[in-house]
Amino acid sequence: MAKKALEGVRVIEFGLYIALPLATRMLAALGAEVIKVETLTSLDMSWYGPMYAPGCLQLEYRPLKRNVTLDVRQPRGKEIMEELIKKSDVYMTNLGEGALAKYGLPFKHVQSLKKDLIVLWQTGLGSVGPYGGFKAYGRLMQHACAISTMGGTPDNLGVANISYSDYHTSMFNALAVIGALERRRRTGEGCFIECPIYESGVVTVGPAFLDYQANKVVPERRQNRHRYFAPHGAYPCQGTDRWCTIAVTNEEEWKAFCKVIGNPVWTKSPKFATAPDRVKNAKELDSQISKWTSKQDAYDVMKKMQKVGVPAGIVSKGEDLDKSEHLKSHEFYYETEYYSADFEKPGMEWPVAGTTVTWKEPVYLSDTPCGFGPMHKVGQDNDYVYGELLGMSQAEIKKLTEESVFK
Amino acid sequence: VEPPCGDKTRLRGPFFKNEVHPEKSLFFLYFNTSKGSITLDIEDPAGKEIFKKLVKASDVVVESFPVGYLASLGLDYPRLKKINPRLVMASITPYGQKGPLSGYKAEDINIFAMSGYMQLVGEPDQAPLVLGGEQTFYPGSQYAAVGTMAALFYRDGVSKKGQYVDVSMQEAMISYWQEQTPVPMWQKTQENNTRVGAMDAMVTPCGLYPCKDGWISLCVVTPQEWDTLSKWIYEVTGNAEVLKDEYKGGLISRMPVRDMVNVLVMEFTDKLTGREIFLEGQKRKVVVMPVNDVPSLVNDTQLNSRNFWVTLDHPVVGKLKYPKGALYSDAIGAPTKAAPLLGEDNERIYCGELKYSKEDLAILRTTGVI
Repeated sequence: MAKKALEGVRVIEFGLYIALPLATRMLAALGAEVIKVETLTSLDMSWYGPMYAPGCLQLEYRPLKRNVTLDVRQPRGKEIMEELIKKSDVYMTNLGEGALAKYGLPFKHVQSLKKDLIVLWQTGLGSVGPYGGFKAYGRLMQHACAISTMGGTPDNLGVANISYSDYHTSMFNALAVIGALERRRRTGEGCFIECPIYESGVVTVGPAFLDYQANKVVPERRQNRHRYFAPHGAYPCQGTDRWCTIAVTNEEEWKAFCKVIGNPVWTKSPKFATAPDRVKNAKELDSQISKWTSKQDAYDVMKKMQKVGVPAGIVSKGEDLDKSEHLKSHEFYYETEYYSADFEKPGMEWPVAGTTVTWKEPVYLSDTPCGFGPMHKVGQDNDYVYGELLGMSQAEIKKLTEESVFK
Repeated sequence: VEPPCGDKTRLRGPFFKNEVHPEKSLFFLYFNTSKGSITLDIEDPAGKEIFKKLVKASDVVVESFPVGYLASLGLDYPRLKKINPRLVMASITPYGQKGPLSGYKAEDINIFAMSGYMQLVGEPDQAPLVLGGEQTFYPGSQYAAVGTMAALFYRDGVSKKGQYVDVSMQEAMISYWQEQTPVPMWQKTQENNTRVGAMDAMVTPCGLYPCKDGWISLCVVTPQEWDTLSKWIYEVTGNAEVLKDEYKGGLISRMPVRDMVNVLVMEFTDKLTGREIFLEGQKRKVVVMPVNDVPSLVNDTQLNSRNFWVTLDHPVVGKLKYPKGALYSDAIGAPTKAAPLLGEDNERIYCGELKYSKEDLAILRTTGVI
């Protein structure tokens, strides 16, 4: 088996939702030993999604991680958490300051447990400041981070049914941790890092920040039209809800584009002669193009455009990603089992609900390729972590399980 | 490393005071803080040799040329690795280095579409929409940064050798909407995710709601959050309907009564300003977010309180505020300088590091190599 980049690094994940578990999914794929600490005493609602196959959503967050059950609200549970942290290189959490204090695990204390510990705290709107401690869900961050005001139509904000900046946060989390590990290797020092979901999304506003300061320009919601290029949009194709995007960015591409659609007379109109003309008359341009695309297959439009060097791509649906020969050539998806939650029973007794596909981390490292594999059951690694790692006897593990410390 | 005429994005808008000028592209300025700049024509035989010398003295090469371009110049990873075995090289391209689409051209909107993210943006029965701000740039660059950092950690700690990092922007973007499980859904139901507008398709209430002075966004996930919100709604509207048991519960339990719940919430949000709902909601531990625009973020009290905005002085455009970055730590620095002028580090790098004389530099300049 190929070596992994983060082999020998141990990470404690103490948190929930999307951004934190996604960061550790990446670290686990890079070879870190990630131990997810959770408790069945408080329900993780995400086990019930998606509605068509409850449990399969967990494959987005859990592959390759070790999993232990631990109730840190019990005094013995808290002590065991401390032992675990002492044996680890990195401790990552997205719990609130109040909850952590209540558990007896405030950051000052956690940092005192191990001299060179790397601590990453993922927050919502930040730990301090006027919004310090405010809670945030990624789904709403596209609004707080202004992204939804920069796209869409004049009447409607451009909203994605997705936990927007949770994803950016996850990669900043991962980057910060690996950077801190490299720093620790060089200096011997640990560190404390805070990564708010808010700032993680705010940075993706991009050059518009400078445009506002320099020119007082506020981004217009111009549907799919581009400020400098035309044609630029998603054009309707044959079939139901089928679209192909086309982006013409220079004169060479415009000429090639016109040729593909058969050089109709309207393309010779002075209204479309230069890029500024086309941008000014984009609405008419788009409606002319739509007349042509709506009689075409979306894939055909894409292929014809690409053949002559015009940037184009279909609006993929799940079925297109599933069938994509390109993604297959990268072996981007793999098949594995998932489980059905039954909070009345120990995680190890939850039944296999089925198999489905999940994605591999989209970073191809030539010498230390990212790993992929099954998700562990809740509590699957109790014996390894408490027995091998912390040196507890089987009798002790059994006792703590019965006392619901390991629940 | 820029071609002698400058990086392409130097001529990409928006521009400072709308003046088209290679030192005034706000696009270039945003993405190139804290960097130096040298000019080099890597297509010129002498330029190629100089590039190899640079590679020998470097830890990382990051590139985003069309697939095959650097190989055509003899500057691909297998060859650069021979010059410097410790080199880590990362390539960020629309579809990655291999596979049937690797030669496809793509702008932001095309990658956004091909990733499937676009299928989820917009109103039902209307065209799919691209998000503002060319969002496909960010996931690919984040994965490349993570991969590069991991490769450096492995090099320095274990192998003493570099490796190649290949990132497909399409796949990076696909992973940024995985919570909707598009492929499992298709395989298990023969259905596809689609646009649902400003309201979440599963969680209720969750989405955008009209308020007295615009819009406010909120999302209720736990049963406790609903209990708190419903009591608050009752306080404001006096409508006891909202307290009914049939609306209680977590995440997806209000799905069957979605429309009614949204009506009850709108009756409430309509009576208050966005700021009132945001601040009071957060006080009561309900997750409420304001709908910010670009000007409000530049002046945001939270961001200001954390010194998120760093003022950097640029010789041509002067002082502007740039984001510090998403991470707060004593171990992480802030941007040190505004984006470089074209070739501002030529002398420092060519003479200082690569030991060319000033006369050599003049020759390289005259012959168009730099």
